[in-house]
Amino acid sequence: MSGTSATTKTAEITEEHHDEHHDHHEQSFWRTYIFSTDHKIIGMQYGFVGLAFLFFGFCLIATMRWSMAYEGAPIPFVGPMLESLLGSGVAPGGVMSAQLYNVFGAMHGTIMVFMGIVPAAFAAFGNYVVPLQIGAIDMAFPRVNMASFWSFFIGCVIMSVSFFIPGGAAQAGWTSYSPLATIIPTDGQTYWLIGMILLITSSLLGAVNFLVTIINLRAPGMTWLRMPFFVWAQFITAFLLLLAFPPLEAAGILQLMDRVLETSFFLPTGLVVNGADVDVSGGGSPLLWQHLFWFLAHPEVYVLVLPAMGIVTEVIANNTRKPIWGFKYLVGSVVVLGFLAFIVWAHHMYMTGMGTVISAFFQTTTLLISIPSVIILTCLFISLWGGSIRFNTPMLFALAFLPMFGIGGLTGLPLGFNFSDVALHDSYYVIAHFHYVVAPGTIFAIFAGVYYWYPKMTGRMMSELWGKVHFWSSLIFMNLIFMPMFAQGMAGMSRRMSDGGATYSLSNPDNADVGGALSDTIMGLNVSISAAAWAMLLAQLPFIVNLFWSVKYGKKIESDNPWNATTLEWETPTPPPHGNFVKEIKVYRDPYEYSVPGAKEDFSPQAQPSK
Amino acid sequence: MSDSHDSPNFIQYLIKLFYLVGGVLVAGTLITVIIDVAFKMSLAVSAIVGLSIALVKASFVVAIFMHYKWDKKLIMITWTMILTFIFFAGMMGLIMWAEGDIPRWGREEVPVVWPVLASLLGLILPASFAALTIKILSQSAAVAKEAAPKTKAKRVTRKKKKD
Amino acid sequence: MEIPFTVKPRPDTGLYNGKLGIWLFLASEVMLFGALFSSYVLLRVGAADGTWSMGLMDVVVGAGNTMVLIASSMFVVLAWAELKQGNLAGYKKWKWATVACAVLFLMVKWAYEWPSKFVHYDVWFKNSAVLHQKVEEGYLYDGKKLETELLEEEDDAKLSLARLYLEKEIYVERFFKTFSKEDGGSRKAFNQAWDTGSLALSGHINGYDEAQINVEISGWKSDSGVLEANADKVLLKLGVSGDQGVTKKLRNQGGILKEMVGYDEAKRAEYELTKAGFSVNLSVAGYESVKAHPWFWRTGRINEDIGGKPRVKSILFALDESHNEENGDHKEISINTDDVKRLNSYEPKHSTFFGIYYTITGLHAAHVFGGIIVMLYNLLPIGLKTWHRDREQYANRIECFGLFWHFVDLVWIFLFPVLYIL
Repeated sequence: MSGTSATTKTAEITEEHHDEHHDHHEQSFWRTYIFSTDHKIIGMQYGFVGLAFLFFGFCLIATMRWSMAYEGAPIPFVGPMLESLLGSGVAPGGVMSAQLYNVFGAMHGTIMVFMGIVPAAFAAFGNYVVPLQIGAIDMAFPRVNMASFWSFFIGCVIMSVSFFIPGGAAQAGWTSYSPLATIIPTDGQTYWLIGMILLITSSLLGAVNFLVTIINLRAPGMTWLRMPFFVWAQFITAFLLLLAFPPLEAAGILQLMDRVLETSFFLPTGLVVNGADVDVSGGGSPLLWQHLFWFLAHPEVYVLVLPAMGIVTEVIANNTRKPIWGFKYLVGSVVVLGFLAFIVWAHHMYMTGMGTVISAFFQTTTLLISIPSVIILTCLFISLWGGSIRFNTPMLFALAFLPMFGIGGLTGLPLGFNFSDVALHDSYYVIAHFHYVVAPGTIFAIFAGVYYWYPKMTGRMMSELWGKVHFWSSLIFMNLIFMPMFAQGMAGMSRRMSDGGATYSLSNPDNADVGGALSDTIMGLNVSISAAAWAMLLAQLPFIVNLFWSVKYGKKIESDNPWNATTLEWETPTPPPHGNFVKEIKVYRDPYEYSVPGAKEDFSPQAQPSK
Repeated sequence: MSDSHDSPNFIQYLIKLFYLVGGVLVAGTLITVIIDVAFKMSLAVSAIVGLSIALVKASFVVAIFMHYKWDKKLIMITWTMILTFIFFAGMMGLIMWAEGDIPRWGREEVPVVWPVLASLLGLILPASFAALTIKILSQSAAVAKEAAPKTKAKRVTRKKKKD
Repeated sequence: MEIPFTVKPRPDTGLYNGKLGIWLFLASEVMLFGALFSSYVLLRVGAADGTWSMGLMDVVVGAGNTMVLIASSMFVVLAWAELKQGNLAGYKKWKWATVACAVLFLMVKWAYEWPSKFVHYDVWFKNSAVLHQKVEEGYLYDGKKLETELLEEEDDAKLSLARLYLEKEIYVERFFKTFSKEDGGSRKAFNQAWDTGSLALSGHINGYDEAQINVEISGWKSDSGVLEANADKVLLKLGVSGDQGVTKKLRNQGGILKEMVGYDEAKRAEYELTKAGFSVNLSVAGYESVKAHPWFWRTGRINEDIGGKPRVKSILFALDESHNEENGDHKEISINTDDVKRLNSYEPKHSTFFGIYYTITGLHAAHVFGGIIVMLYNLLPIGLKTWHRDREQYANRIECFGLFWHFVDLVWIFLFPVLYIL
């Protein structure tokens, strides 16, 4: 016993000594800003890369929209660039070939989901805000955090490089269904798989770090139910990533084996490609890939949405100046949502002929999962009631999130029923549905988060005027893009067609007698949607300019708490130094104590002792 | 492991236990091989026998080598493991089930009772999970309340002994 | 700035950061290997009768490796116990023992178990008559020995004898378990596989007849953008004698450039010549017998089309379990590659079983390898610095590593029966 305590004593002494040494040590530029272990820097790195890829992914789809609206016409400005960059094989004379359309389509999905929204919504805000909100000085494992970012970064590089290899990047859609993904002879899919394995590794490391941080590094007094909803959302998201991503990693390894070592995990017996037998042993199961993929990819939807809900909750609570209505129901719902997210995946697979029993099961769970989602949305709506709402830019984005996410969620119900899914499957209806969830849903929440936490990161506000221009134009064009797609989908337009469905429209003479061929009105929507998409691209310029301009010229904030918020991140100096808090943090209150009767101000910070 | 298990006597006891478990594992492997060589069984039987032995071995490793036996009070590990195994079992079960449900020539129609049971399962699973969460959350609060005075008491005794 | 609870556990959760982190990491590992096990089960359940190649594993080696891993798992926990008692020397002793076990485990895999599979082949035939004939040739050469059994059978004598022999000696292990899925289906399924010829013959390749190729130039395109001088240079490089007239004649009229050369040389010449604007014909002039034990051969390699003829004409195949009475060797038969539908060594491509076997054990081996690196780091002075700074933190680190290592052991505990026994 005495041995142990002596050990601890020496340990304490050396630690103290180490501390002193550490504080006087100036770190180099590289260690501070590039290979940093500080959660705030890493958060901003994730944020920049994530936003850049969101923009890049958007540019891809903007290019594809030209092919859908004016098939066979050379793309102005961009076409010659594509031809010189990627070769005249895929973009002859500036015209997008169907192969290039497939490449862009697959990479648009991959980039937006895995390299755009996940780093921006989960990793960036999570890294920056979560330790601040729970009163921790850093993440639990700073070096693992850095490893996580660089693993992500290398994955992104591999994905980006794959555009320029012979044959181009992956072409089998972001879902990479086998056998198609396996038998495509170009190497893009292999790059995709290796890139994905790195991105997954990054997410796993990040998830472990988040969980440990939230569980173990909460400040004194920060009990589970005193955690802000954003932290709760990140907590559940991290669990989703931790337990749902490994099956995709396994699937990725198996598909990599299929491609590189010619196994046949996902290739059935007797597979014939281009009229020739494929020399494989057979006996694999294409359904297995879909099971493993969707076992991740459905929880992934909640990975995209939950942090967004968290951000929106923070912004709404702050700007209505009243507590969130039904906070405990929110927390309960998000926990149940996290669990249910794991047992709904096969509703993406109704059309694979899985069988009736399993369809019935997944239909039930799918409709069940709408209950917690609706509870969350309802709580947020009711929170608006009777609030003295401040309509600033973050609040506008947060408010727009609610109906937009609502539209996305409610239009999902017909897809959840397997009888109506039979008609709507793989149509533009599906595209419109999930884009309503993630584009005006999650991405609006990301914008809200950027406008809301920007003053904490830089010490300056972003321009309100340009923020409002950004918001209103984005809102209008977003709906002009996606609303018509519901009509197109219900008229029977299939997704993933480089000619925008012209083959199956009345403009094709073969279809003159075909009932249900796409009418000219429906086809005409392609042009208006494309125009709206390009306008949407322009509408992002105010944001981009605002983001960089305000770093230097934005209005300086007067206090560390410009929004008069209650949560702990506003207790830090601006911007927070290495180690975050200059005073000792103790938590005395629930997260959203706004307008407490009898209080001096209309907000009572969590760190303010109650009398 | 928490402080109370740091005493030299306990470590000595542990070391004995480790040798014992090592013996059990070796014996388990031998039994598996012997059964395989000596008896010709159908796949189902040998799967049950083989995996049961593996399960026994695995539980020894988790309980003793990974000191889960002494860690299980620690609510977070328990929670993680429960979650993982629910998801793992769910995934295994559902994937198996999905495979078995694929209509094939010569297979009989699925009776109506199964979709009904499936739907019920869909209701029961999240409900039980919600109940579990509530229980664990309330438990961890209790642990937090208990834990603080306990550790203080220990520190006091330790100081006394040193003196 | 020190992050709290890196050493001491947090009172209300009862865990220090590292331990919580490693348990969460293990949770994700459970899901990773869980997904692979699920895939294994699903693929196996969905496999057609007789295509799940079980029973080809060396159970003794597998069991031995299991023991090695169990020992290492025990050593690692003993090392931690020594550390807890403050005994660094004892810790080092057990830890080096762990490293030794881990290295031994990998050596058995990489140097013995896997390579021995890469030279072992299965051959499937295009039609059943060839299979029956080859079995007769390979296994029934000593028919008299089994004459008494022969008389008891009512079926066609030779076939039933073959069945008896095959069932007894070779295919029982391999096919019995998959066939026994259905009640009494074993014999039925076996007979069916025999009749349709979907059984494989397994053994080693002792030798083969490899094509000797003539490389013939049939013309030269003057508009190919290659200068005449450069085209001639290529010819010179490919060993045409320095005479200018010869190269010019070859370029203008064509002719045989190389006679009876090996595959690699011919292909390289074809590549160089095509690049230089020549049209090239490859034709097989003859076959040469080679004695060798090739690795990793596949169907595509042996029947690759060269001017209408296969690259390998026939292979000398030493059948498993078919001992010559006189010298104890495996009985050799000659297999014409025209008859071969598929040929594969026991590599991942061989079958779904081998695919998943190499995937899971490979991933497991990668974990073992990672573990070795971490152990070495902890044993070297750079890792031991932590011990001298803070003993408890170092002990915690070792405990966390131990948890990971036990998990790797745990995976193997399930892998062993699933891959080797069932």
